[in-house]
Amino acid sequence: MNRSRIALVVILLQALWGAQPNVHAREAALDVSLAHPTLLAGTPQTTYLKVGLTGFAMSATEKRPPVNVALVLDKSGSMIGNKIAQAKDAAIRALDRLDANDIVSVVVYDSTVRVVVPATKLTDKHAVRQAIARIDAGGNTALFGGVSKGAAEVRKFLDGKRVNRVILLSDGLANAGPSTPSDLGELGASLMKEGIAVSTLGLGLDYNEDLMVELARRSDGNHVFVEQATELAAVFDREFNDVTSVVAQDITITIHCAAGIRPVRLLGIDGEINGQDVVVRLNQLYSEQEKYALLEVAVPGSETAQVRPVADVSVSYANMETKTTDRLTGAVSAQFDSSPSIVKERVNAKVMTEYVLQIANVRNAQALVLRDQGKTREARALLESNAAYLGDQAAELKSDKLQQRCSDNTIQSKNLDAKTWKRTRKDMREQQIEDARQQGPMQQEQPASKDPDC
Amino acid sequence: MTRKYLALFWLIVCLPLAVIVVIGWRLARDEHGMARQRLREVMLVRLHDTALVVSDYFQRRERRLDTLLESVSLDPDSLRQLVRREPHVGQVFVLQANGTLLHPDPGGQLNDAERRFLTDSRDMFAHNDLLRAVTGGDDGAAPAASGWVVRFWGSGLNMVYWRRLPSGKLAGVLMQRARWIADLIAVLPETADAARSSENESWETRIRLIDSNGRAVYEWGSFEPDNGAAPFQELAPAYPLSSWRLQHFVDESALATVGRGAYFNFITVLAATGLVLVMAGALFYREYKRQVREALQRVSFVNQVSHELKTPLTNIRMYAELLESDLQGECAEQDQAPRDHLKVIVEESQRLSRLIGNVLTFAQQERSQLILHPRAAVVDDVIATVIQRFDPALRRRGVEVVFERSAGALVEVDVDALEQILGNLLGNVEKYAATGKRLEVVSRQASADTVIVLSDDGPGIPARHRERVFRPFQRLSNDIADSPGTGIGLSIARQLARLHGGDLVLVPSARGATFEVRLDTPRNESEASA
Repeated sequence: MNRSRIALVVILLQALWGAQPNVHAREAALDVSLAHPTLLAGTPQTTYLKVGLTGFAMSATEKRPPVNVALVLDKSGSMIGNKIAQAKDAAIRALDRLDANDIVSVVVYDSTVRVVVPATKLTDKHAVRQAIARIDAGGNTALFGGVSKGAAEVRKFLDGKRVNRVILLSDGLANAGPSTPSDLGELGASLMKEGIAVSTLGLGLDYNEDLMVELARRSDGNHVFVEQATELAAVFDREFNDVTSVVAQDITITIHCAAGIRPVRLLGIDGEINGQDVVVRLNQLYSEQEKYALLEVAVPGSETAQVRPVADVSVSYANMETKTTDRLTGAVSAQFDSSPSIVKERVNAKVMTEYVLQIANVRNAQALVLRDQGKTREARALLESNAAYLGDQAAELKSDKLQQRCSDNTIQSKNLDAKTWKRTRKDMREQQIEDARQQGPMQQEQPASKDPDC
Repeated sequence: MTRKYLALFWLIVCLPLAVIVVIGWRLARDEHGMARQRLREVMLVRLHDTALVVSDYFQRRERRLDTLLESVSLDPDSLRQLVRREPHVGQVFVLQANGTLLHPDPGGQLNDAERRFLTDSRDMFAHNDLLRAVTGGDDGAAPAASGWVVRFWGSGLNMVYWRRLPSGKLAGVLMQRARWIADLIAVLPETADAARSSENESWETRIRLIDSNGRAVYEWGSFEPDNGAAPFQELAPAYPLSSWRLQHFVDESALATVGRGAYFNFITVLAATGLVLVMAGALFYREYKRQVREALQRVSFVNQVSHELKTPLTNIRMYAELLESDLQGECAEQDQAPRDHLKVIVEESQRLSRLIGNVLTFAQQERSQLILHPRAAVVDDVIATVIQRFDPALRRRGVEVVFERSAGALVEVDVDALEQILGNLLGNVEKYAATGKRLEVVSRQASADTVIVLSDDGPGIPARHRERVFRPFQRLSNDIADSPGTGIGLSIARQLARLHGGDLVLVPSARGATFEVRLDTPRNESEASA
């Protein structure tokens, strides 16, 4: 009892002063904080609860957890030529990152599916390389079938002690088999329950980004827009960096809201809201990466100086280094003050930044829908206002990240015409999933360009 | 004769060939249809195997879901935990025995997924639709303990598995659609490596799993059917996936070559059989030629011997006849014995020369060298001469010869041939019909025809042998003691008669044997002019 109170105090202190996450060695760090640790007394209001989980730094001496990867490669007619050659090259080079403890399978698909390398320990790299080198392109795009078979290969050696992943490369629209974003999303969600993440690499300008994003999002995998086939080697490299830097898997975050506190919605990552309980599931956590759930809560009006418990949080995850199931708990309370200035002064800038990021992200997605409906002008207006909002907030919260998104939105608002829309749309989808799901640290590319307006 | 045998021989060779050609061609033609039919059956078997894989998958799911539903406690937390953890479970529901939804409770706090599920599946819970499907109507059968219910909403077919719990409640699971489809794909075959499959399978095929809307869900096989191509074979998997189809496609253009192998086989067999037959034929033909040559050599040997015998015999006969006439003139009253002896010598030498004549004629006929030399003669005179020549021998055997002559005209006739014909016939009477004690010879002539009928009262010839007796070397009995002779007499006689523009036939008669000789004997011109 005493101890938990001390923990609570520690967390409270962190929440109050925005302390750095407490990175304990060999254990993920839990950060539970409110956007407004102090709320205005007397009125019901909403605030945002952030439950962040940061992966510990991977030990340099300990062996990394072995991986179980299925490479699912699109070899449909559109891949003929440079694309398939680059993809094969990138895949072959990526193999160098793995060793004999890892399991690799290679699946290719066009109108039908072929398992080129069945799931096997990577003891004979040469044979796998040769099998990849023999792939040639032609045919339709049975993406669903390819992922199904790829997942089946991973499932042969499914093990919580491995990093289980399907890496899908496609440059085309899925036109054989189930091919709606919701079909693929459902499949992704189901695979996530088993601990299999699907990373989707969209190549060129002709792939279906909705479908690829949905598959990655619902399975907690990465999504990357690869405009040029020449980037593939680097993309594969980053992906394998991620795969080999997983420190925690099978993560469940349970937030129990205190009486009177109403969970309204989750921003970014999906989850279940069952009455007072909110459950968020994550597939994996990378080394030194923070993933968080951002929950909007309605807090009833309270008196000044009252300390109101907001939520208890418990987290369970499989520690990939110690091979144990670890549990973390935390709690957060809110204070109340009648002075708006004090309330403003005490705002947690970090949480607010994430909140702004998520809100802007939702608006960005709305702009995309508007543009899809042909309402280019409205879409542009929304992006511009979004950029302005991000710019203001970036200045106030002193956030480079928001600054970056401000310029991103501005650039996007200028590229909504028919000629550039295809590319912009893929950029936007990539950015949306990156912000919503907080993709692996390696995925976050350096800002390509910065808009002078921001 | 030889040509006839040759034709027969080629018929023996060619007829089987022709029969093989006809049968083989028809077989090869049927082969195409049969191969197609067989292929159809093979494809159906394969589809059945595939359908088994599908139903096996659902059975395994059933067992897993049974375990889950039996062990889960029915509070919302546990049920939600189940949905969160089980990859195949899209949603769980629990119904009261009366059909009221216990979970997800429409009046309770639902999460988004539960709310969506209740909206999507409202038809299933409204009007107790599910409950009615579960109890199986009013046919009075015991309600099942578990089963599948298939409903359409969202992007297609949704599978619901329900189970009646001991408490009487009904627990059900909505299978996550994308997942069971992905699982089916995982258990179904993949397209085999082209290099590997070419060894195992000569047929490029494609099997498609088609959903209720006719869209391909998954397919495998190296064959790429055209858009809108009709399946070669189709099968519906078992419930709960019975609204889907498994379709088998094959390369129809490759099908055209089915049976081509059979044609090839057939032609090979035909050629082989033909070759064997022709070779056998050639062998037999050579053997046949050799035998004919040998026979000819034998005949020519006999011919030569006969020629060699003929000259001394003629001399013997001539001198014996001279001696006979000498004796007759000088001492008529002297002892009768030498004269009788001499008569025997004459008779026997005549018989011997007839025999040799027959042999030589036969040999000539065999070599188709038998040519007649007609000259002016009176047929009755020739008959009388021959009868006279046989008279002593016939008389000794007690045969009385009656000759009614009506062929006294001078006609063109080969006397030697006629003598030979009559000699053979009379010789036969002497040999075989002496018991009849009577021989009647009647001759007659009408315009250019001369007919001589010889009737005896001997044992006669059975009707069934009437033609056989005219064939060479045919004798009614082969017992030499019983019937001496060479067996060529009648054959030669008939041959000569036919060469002479007539015939020799055995006429049916009440008793004995009656031979009728008919000859084409034109009137002699010199007599007509005179």
